[in-house]
Amino acid sequence: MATADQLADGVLREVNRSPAAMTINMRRVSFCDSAGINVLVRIRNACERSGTAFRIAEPQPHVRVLFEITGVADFLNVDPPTSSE
Amino acid sequence: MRRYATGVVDAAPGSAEERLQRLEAVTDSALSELETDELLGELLDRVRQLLGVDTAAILLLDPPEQRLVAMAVRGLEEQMPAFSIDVERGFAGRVAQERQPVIIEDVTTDVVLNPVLHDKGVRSLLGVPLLAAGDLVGVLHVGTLEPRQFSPEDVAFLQFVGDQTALVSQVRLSRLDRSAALALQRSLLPTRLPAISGIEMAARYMPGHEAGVGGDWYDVFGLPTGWLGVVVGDVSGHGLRAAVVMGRLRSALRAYALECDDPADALTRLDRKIRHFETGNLATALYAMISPDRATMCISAAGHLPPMLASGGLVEAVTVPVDLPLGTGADAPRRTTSVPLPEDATVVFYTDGLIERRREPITEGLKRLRAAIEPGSAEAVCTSLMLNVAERQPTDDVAVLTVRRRADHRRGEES
Repeated sequence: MATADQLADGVLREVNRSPAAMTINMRRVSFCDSAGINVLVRIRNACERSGTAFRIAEPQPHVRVLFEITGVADFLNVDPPTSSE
Repeated sequence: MRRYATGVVDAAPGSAEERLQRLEAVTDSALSELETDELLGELLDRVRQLLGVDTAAILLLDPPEQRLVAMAVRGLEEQMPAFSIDVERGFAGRVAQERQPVIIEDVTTDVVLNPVLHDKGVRSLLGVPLLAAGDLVGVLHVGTLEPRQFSPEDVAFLQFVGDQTALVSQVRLSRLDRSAALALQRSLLPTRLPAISGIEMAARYMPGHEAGVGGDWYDVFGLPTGWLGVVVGDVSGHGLRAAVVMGRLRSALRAYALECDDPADALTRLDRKIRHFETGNLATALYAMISPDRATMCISAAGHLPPMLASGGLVEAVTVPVDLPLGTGADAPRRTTSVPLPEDATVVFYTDGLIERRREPITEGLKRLRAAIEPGSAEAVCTSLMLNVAERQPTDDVAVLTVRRRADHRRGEES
């Protein structure tokens, strides 16, 4: 949870500068739970407000499964799986 | 109230020896026996004596209100009833804003809001912030009637006391928070599930071990139409705050359930309620309605893990599309799915704390859950899940609700 909050603080500060795009690369994220999803939703909504294109790239397969079973994969604009997955 | 000797002997004012004695007086082990409120008062008595000041006060921050509330006061302000000030105003407010020691050697009205301090003619003030893990939790300040130049030693000493105070108040708050949240949760979760014809139920709730209490909930209620409402949900976050939001969502969903024949409709209204009145809170929830003849279950899932259905020796997750969690702010449509509920079937509703483990894909937890569900009474299934799937000391809240359709229930038997 500490990790999720740290991520939120850092990223939201960036989003406040209204960048054109924000990609969260989750290649190295091995665990995500509802607290993590909560933070990603907040970032995604902040991006929407600031007109920043948001997407999530390269989630590990089981993190992708979590996004899918909690119904947020489309909402968080998670990249489709590559053929190697 | 008990009094303790301060144990201070005469030492040259300002000397290293004297400062050491000052510190010892505050860390005196006897203090640890006191209740928090007494302890804060005792600390202030010692501070007044050791610093030779006329008044001393500890104000703690009440975050939702953004106000500093006087928790302990000694000296001039003692006669004043409990007071609080805006965190952005007055002397204490300035200490809170600057987050470092502030000295005012000659007080004027515009910096002091507290009328007692002003009327009594306080001339000099020294205040330090109370910080816990970098967060402001309050302010400690002292004042004198005579003009006073506070030395760097005075400041360091008061900051030391402030650090002790911050620690004590945090321990006290987290203890309060935990017991209040537990009491709230117990009052909100049905301890005895209602007796419902044709249905057998059991439930368990276990608060997260380290994180304290959270916002998990389950609920079961009969509707006037003869349908049975079953809810499981999880408000993100932990502690009293999450538990309070959970209580409001639970009540709201009950109200919507009375007006809606369709679970998706009820969750859409709950989502709207969160958007307007609970902004910033994200929650997952699953609302199922079981028909009066108990043969059908209509489910809508908002970001929540679908229940497991055990029937005829098979255990499978109920196939239901999962819509967005509640509180995302998006206007995505919600869906209701109807599934048959065979006789003797058991449905297991749960929150993610039951199956999620760090360093393990959620799919493993789902596998473990599926394997642990064996035919048996609702009570037996619950017991087995808590023994075989839940962690003994979970880091997240765990809520489990099992619902079994009795075999002997005939259509139209009830109302």
